Amino acid sequence: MRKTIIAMSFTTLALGAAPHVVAEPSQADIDRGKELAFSRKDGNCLACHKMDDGKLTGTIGPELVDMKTRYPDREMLFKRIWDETKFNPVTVMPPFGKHMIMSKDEINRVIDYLYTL
Amino acid sequence: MSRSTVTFGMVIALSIPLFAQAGPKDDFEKAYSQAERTHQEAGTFQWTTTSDRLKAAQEAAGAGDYDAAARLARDALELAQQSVAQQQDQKEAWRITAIGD
Amino acid sequence: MLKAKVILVALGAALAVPAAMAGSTPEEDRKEAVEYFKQMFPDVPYEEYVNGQYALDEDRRSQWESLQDFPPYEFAVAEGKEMFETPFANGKTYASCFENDGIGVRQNYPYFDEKNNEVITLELAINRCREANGEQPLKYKKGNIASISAYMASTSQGKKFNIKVQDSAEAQAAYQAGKEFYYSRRGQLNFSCASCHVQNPGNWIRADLLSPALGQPSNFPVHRSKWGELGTLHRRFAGCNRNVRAEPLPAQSTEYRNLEFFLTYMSNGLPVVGPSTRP
Repeated sequence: MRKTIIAMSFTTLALGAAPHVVAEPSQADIDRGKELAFSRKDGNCLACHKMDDGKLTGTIGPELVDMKTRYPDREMLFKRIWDETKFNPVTVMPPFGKHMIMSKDEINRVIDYLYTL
Repeated sequence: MSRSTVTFGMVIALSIPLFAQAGPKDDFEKAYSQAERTHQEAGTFQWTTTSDRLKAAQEAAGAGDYDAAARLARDALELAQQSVAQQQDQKEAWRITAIGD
Repeated sequence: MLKAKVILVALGAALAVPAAMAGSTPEEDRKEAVEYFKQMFPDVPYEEYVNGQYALDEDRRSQWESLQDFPPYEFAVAEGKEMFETPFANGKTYASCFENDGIGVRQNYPYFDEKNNEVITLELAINRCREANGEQPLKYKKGNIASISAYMASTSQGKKFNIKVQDSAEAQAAYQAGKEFYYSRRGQLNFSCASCHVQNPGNWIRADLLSPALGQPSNFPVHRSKWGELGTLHRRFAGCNRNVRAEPLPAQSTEYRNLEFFLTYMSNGLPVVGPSTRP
């Protein structure tokens, strides 16, 4: 039973990280992404990152600008939000996907929004 | 139609709703006890989010909504598994940022 | 999937090596920490670390200093003094439980008690004193215990922390456990104490300025505007744990006492400035 569940969660993880075709996001997707990025209980990106029109932003992470230039590969950006510790073991960025702070869909909405910056 | 077939059919018909009732409650209880056990396993690395889901699952079960309760308990289990993974990982990984060996 | 596994195994192997050779002494750790922060903040004088975030930001510091004429904890300290001096039902006072009658001793806490092999914090000693004299213990996070502890700290102002980690395996283990706690990531947000206070002091997390690890316990008990009252160090530990979505441990649990032991040892040589104020 336990094994099955662990296997299942790995499957979820693998699916989460697997490439997928992305349609052009709607304005609603982008708005939802911004809401998630700014909300304290979800992305709370402002705690560490200067971005957009966010007020009282933190200074721990880099400013989130030119995201399309910096992350032309959407999949790479997804993976880094999913679990940045895989890329940088000493990062303080929470592993949003791995630790289920945001779902796969929520992370994708955040990315829709980040790509407008 | 033979008499035994009718009886068989009736037994099936009666037992379906019984199963349907026992199912979600059973699911909930199984998932909840597993989640609770895994949460305990995390020791001093428990997450508040796991505790919150467990509590919400109990409340949903108390209100008779076993579908929601089972879903919340499964969420709690996944969170608890990650907290156990974190605890295991940190047994060595804490050294990466430590000042002094 | 396989690739991820291979990387994990490789990481595990790499990490196992320093573990096997682990073993810097507490004093080596402390000196290295002093050096680390000196490089991070070359302009901050060592003694300034007791002021936490105010050592790192001019604006915050001047705002803070302008509020020091009427410190909000004064009344609590006066109450603490009165409680400290009021005899228990058996006629004895707190003074009977402490060295030098409890005056000017804050800098020696926490200490490792080699008889019972445990860390004794000032608040624990206060409650053990009560119990030894037939009184009920106080709650550990705020209220009377914070007032008494604040009074005792106020009689020790300027005295330098002098925490000792004895050579015994038990004392060393308590220190190591505290150190491991400080550097271990916890909670859904995956932060250790060090994520903020070693890796990012001087940075802002939203509207909060992160303080350095050095000097952190010097100003406790502390009056936080957020609390509107005095609180103990273990109340703060619990709050930090909760912030990262980790289930807090009980105040005065073995884990928090070991953590205080490690953290206060890091501040050896810095003066007691508690009680103080923070946002």
